[in-house]
Amino acid sequence: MRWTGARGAGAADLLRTSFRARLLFALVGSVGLLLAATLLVVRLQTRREVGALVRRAVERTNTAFGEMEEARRRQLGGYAARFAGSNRLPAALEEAAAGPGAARFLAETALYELQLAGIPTALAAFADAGGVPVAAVLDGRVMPDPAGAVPAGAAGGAAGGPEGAGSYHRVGGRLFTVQTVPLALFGNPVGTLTLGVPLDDAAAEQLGRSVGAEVCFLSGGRCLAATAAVRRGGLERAIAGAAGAGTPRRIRWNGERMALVPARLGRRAGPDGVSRVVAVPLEEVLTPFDQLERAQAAAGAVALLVAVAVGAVLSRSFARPVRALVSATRRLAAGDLETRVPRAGRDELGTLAAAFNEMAHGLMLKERYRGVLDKVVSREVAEELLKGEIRLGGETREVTTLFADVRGFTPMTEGMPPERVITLLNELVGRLGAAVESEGGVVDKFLGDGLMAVFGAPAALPDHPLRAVRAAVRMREAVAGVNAERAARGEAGVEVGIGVNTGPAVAGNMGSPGRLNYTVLGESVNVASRLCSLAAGEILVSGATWARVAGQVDAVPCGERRIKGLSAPLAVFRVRGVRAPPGPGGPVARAAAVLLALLAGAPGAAQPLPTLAELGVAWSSPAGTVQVTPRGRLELESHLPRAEREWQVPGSEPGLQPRLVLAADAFAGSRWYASVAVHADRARPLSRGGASVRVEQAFLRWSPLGGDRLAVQAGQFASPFGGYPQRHHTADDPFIRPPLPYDHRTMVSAARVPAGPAAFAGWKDAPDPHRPEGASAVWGAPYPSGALVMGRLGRLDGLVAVLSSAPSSEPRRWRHRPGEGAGASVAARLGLQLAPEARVGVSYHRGPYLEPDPAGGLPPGARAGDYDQELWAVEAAFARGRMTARVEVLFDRWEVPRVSRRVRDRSWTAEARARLSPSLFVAARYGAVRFGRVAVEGRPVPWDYDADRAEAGAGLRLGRNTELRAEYLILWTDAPPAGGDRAAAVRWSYRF
Amino acid sequence: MRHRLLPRAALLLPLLATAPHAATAAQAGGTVEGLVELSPRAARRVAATYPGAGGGTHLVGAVPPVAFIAGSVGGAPAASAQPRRLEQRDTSFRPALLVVPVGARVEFPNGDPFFHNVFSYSPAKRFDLGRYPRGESRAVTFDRPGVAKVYCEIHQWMRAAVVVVENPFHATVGADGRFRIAGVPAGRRRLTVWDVDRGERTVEVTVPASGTVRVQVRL
Repeated sequence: MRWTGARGAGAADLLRTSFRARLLFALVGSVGLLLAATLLVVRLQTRREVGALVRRAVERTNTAFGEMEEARRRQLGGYAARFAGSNRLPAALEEAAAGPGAARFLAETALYELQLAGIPTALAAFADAGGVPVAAVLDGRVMPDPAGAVPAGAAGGAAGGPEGAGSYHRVGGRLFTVQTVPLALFGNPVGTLTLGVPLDDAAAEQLGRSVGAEVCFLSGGRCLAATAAVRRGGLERAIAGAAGAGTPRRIRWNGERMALVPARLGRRAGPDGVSRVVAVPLEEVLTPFDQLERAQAAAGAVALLVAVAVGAVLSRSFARPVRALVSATRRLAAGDLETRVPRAGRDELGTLAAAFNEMAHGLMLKERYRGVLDKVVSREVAEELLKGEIRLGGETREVTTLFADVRGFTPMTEGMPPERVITLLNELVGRLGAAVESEGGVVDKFLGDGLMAVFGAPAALPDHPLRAVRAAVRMREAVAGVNAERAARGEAGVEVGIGVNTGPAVAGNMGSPGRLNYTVLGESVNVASRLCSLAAGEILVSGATWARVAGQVDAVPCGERRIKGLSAPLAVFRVRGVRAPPGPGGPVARAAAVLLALLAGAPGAAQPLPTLAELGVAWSSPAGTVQVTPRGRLELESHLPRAEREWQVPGSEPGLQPRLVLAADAFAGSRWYASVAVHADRARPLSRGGASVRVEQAFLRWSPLGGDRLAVQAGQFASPFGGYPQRHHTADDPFIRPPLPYDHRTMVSAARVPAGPAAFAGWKDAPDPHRPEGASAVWGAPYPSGALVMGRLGRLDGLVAVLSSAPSSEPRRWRHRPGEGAGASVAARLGLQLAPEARVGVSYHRGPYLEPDPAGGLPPGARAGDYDQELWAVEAAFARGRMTARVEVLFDRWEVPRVSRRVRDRSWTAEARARLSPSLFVAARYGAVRFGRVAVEGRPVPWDYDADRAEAGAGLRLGRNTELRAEYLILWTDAPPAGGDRAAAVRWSYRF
Repeated sequence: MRHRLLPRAALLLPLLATAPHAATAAQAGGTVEGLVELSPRAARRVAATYPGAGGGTHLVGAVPPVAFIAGSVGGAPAASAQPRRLEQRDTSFRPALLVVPVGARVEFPNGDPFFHNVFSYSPAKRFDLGRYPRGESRAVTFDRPGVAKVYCEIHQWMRAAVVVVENPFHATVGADGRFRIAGVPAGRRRLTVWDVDRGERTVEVTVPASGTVRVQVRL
């Protein structure tokens, strides 16, 4: 209970925290996600806007710059055409190209022409037809070294056309827009003239003003021309960095954000290439977005806070009723049936609370009814009523009715206060009721100062007359005890009159469906009542009862009395006491007679036939401390067809096989128990013998502590190894055949020893008749002789046993014969009840399995006892409601002479069973056996063929004694001829 | 182009004036006879025609090749100080080739009814006569030996050459490439052959006291 409570509290904590956390997480998470998504969208939009702005600015710049450049180039082109159109400069160039002395003259001529044209600051540079710089003029001066003034490739560019002709050139740290034209004399090219106008700060300023951006022209990593702002603010460095990048870059400069967009001018790349960087101011476009973002962040923070608050409130409002429900459930579990939870609202939790309240109310009512019922009717009847299995009407059955009545009560209570009277009466009648219950009877009703008790209904008790009489004797003893106490106090005593009668009565629920009363009715009941009236402080039994208890009860006849309502006078006996039982001769003879009657007519009997005990074939000592109860079972089995493999154990034959089992259980007190079972059937395996009668089971068990906490047992009993033998004949096992691990012969033989590994591995391919020689992994359900100690501690149980034979030993080896067996084996088992539904267990069994003198001959110096079989079994079972599932795995190791001490196989079986109705159950089972390998000339070879088996079974209970079972199985094996094999089995059994 | 150029040059030959003193020098001394092989590919390609004002086309002035003995020659007759003329007429220089002794003064009269602007940027004599109208003339004294290419800034197809020599021994190369310089004093002499489009080449010749020495010059 404490454990369950702790688990409940832990689960509640988990639920509470995780539920609240999850709700909070969901709310905050969704709000946060929404915020993040919005922010992302705004960011994307901002980026898109900025991108568009930058693009527009760059386009504008390109356009403006293009226009500016076009104007400059047009002007340049005009000058160039003019210079080229005259033959003076060509003539001078021709002369200069021919001799060095003329270069100065050429330069001065050019200077003259530039001055004439009004562009004295322009650049003019000449190259001869081979592209070699000849002379240059800049800023109205002749350049001493014209080499740097002529753009590389000017000659080629000049030939290439106008595009090549227009480019940019850096001369002495200044940037020029240059245009190169060819010079010709009489149509003959004599060289080129490159004319350039400076692209300076003024030009940049003009461009910047027209596009509303800062502009800078760079070459060789230096800012050669720029707007004034760039010059002033030292933006050149950032711009120089941006020029190298191929893509726009955003910077913050003097607190203002701007995008630097680089573009290459001209066709030349590399350090000498000229590039232009436009710094587009972004502040204006970004400001609204910034404001939006700030506003959004603020709103988001508020929304998150609200979400947290709402989440907290919501989760509290959700968790509170849940918590209330949890604590109420805990209180309910602890037994407080008055627990209710407040109705939380109209939502699902409210519905849950209401359902809980209804449930608690229902439980409370049921518990209250149970309390009332327990007081009003017997516990058994009350439980039956509460189970809801209340049927109106009843069945006629033989019961013994007892009426008891306290005499002399009224005088005794004279002058007593009424409360005291009631207390005394209740005490007396309570003791009488206790006597009834101690003998297994049912107090049908309390009748003021007496009671009515029934024996044999609703639970069938075979010895109900005797029990009733014993209860009567106990009542008398109880009253005597009360009287003795009273006498010691000097008070008057009371007497109790008891009447007992046995006879048929209608037992069942009488009354209307709204108000039922389980009782027995009938003439025999009335007779008991009348006998009670007749009895004056004595026990009177009728002749019918006496006839049933005559052997055990000491009574004197009181003659015949006329009873009201009875036509014939009734023989009445006064009971003196219960005495020791007579010898067993009588019951045995009677049991034999009953058995014969059963064999003749039982299978077709529609009515439930009485069991041996019900027929009185039982013995109990007068004090009830020693009880012997006989049991009988008759089985008819048929296996069809005979197609199944011969090595399946036990061997089977078509046709009906009868089996009769007679058993007796004896209890002496609560500490001694003995059981004997005699089987009469055809000996196993069937192929080896005819009919036999043998003692299959005979053991004595001593439980020194009472109950099953500790027991010592000796004799012959079902093997404690594994899960199957313990339940093989119970209703728990719906199959006829044992599971495959208990039903399969391996090639290991107990009677033969292989010559070596090769021979051993070859056995599996020997002709079929050789097969049955093998040993079974575990014999179906062995009954070896031995002794064991078993105990239970809490949920753990275990046992240790010494047994006469190995798990695979055949039945003839089960019973210990001194000097014959190869030696004793040991077994142990440990089980753990994990939960009421689940159980796991592990078993171990080890012992010599060889016949004392194997025909194959053992290695020199070896004895049969040196070779063990070792088995481990692990089992698990789970049962809930109508379903039961079971798994068992067995690991088998053989020590095979001349082969190996590690010849292994493993097998397993899994089974599921369902009870479809109280009388019909079905089951399915699968089993497999897998064989290991042995080394044959260094090569691992499987030593036997694997097998699989699938089974389906069904059982039908006909009444309480008869049962029909049918089983169908399919077996697959690798053994030749490979393939499947089918078999069926049916069994009719009758328990009596 | 070239094929057309040569016949035209041949047609123009009769118009060319030859210096009269060549005949006087022929009485004493040897004769240099030569054959100038003009390479089919000129040093520069010259357009045959030139667009002029008024949509017409103009022939680019043809200048015949000339051969002369370079340097001063001892015993040669002195050159006369008689002024020479290089007239502009019909947007052409006439004659197209003028061989003058060092120190000669050359008049450039304008015979056309419009302005001309005669100039030369050649190192032998740089001059720019500016523009002047019809009937006016400007004079230039050529005081250094060499060749001065003469152009008109206004009419760019006009050209002429003034060859300034230090001795009277020179001859115009004929259309067949042949020339003959008579009366050259014996001795080792340098013979220069010049063409306006191909440049010049100087070879050594040993002139006999009498008789003829034949040279072949590829230009």
